[in-house]
Amino acid sequence: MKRMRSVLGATVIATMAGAAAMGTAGAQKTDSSSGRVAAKIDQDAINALEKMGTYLRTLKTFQVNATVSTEDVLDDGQKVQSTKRVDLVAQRPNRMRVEISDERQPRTFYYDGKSFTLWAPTTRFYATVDAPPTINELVNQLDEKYDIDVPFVDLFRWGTPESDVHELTSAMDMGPSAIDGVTCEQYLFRQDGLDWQIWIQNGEFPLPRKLVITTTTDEARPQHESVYTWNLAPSVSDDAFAFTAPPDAKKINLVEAQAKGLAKLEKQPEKPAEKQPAAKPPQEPRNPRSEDR
Amino acid sequence: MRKLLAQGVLVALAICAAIEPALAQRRGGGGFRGGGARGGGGGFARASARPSVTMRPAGGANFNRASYNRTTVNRGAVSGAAVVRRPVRTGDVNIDRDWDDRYSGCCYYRPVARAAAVGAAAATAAAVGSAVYSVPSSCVSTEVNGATYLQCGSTWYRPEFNGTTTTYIVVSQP
Repeated sequence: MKRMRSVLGATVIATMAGAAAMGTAGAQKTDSSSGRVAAKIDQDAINALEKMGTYLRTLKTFQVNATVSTEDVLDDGQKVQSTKRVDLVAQRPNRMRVEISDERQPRTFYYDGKSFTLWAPTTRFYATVDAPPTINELVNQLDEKYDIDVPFVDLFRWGTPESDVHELTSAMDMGPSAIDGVTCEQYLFRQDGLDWQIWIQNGEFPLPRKLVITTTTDEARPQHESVYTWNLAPSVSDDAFAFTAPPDAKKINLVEAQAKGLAKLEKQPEKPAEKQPAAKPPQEPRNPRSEDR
Repeated sequence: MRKLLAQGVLVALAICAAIEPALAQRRGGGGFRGGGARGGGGGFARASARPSVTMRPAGGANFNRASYNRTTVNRGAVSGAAVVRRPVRTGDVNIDRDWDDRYSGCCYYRPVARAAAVGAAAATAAAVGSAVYSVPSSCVSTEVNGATYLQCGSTWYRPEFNGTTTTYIVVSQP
């Protein structure tokens, strides 16, 4: 019986997946055999998302501030919400600064097209590594190589092939809704592991004003919420993107994600290894700034 | 007298930092409600909200970032503790400040740690290679051959960034 149920379950899932795929491709056309599922993809909502993405791609220099709330789920299911302010300035394609104001873990990211610096103003620790030539590549490298999430990464990916509307299994237009006094249209989307809502500004500047992401793979369903304030004409100089170490700054390593674990640690007890300048992993390119100091 | 007291506190704190991995292990099931989570407070997360709709989660749909995959700091075989998992929201500790309760970082188990320190001072030395998420603010930072180290009594740490979180690896005296 149990096996029977799972076979049935698999069939239902397969049917739904097929219907969802058709729905995405086939816009609002209702398929007679699976009409209910197909109707959950509202092509207007998809279009709004793509229009916003296209518009975001036209922005060369912008500043976006946000209050970000995010939740962690403790082992016993209790949720912990933390809130921080994030101030991001970007100059496409290769300048970015992100200031994360957080009582417990304040950080600033500097990217000047050549190197990336992570700065911790409380402890005065910083780490600098070589960086790829564009913001989009940097964002991927930070995620994959250094396990660092760049806030608002979606702002750089919407409107590019990295944002794939075909992954959406549901899309709905909820109607008008104001964020900070600005009239927006609220949309609901659903994809594997995530339910999300976005408020897109009405009119000729289709900017995201609010984003709520619900992670559905954990039963506590932790949420991540950002409310954005935009400045499309910030005055910034190149200096804003380059890190200059204050006199009391202390340089430390940024550990590569794949270097974590035993292989690396086993080397540590050897004293000579500790005496290497800056104790950097050998494969990591040297940072010119460290030689200046 | 004051100096003696200060040393006592320093030793207690060093011990406290040293036994933190072990505490971390035991804390696993309970979260952090056992002791006011100030400064470096936290608990242990089984999941975190995904911050992006366009980034592909590591390990497919069962994305469970905070707890198991890439961010797990497993120093087990080195430190003797099984697994040290990333706490939720580890706070920074400014090691160059004078002792300040607000930035304790180390010890939300402070009363326990202090009591234990009295009897276990000699026995509990931090294992080289083990990692902690915070050290006492009374530690002193030193640069040795261009690298930053923290000296906390007789224990030396090398700070590093794991993701955006600062971790401190116990090392031999450089």
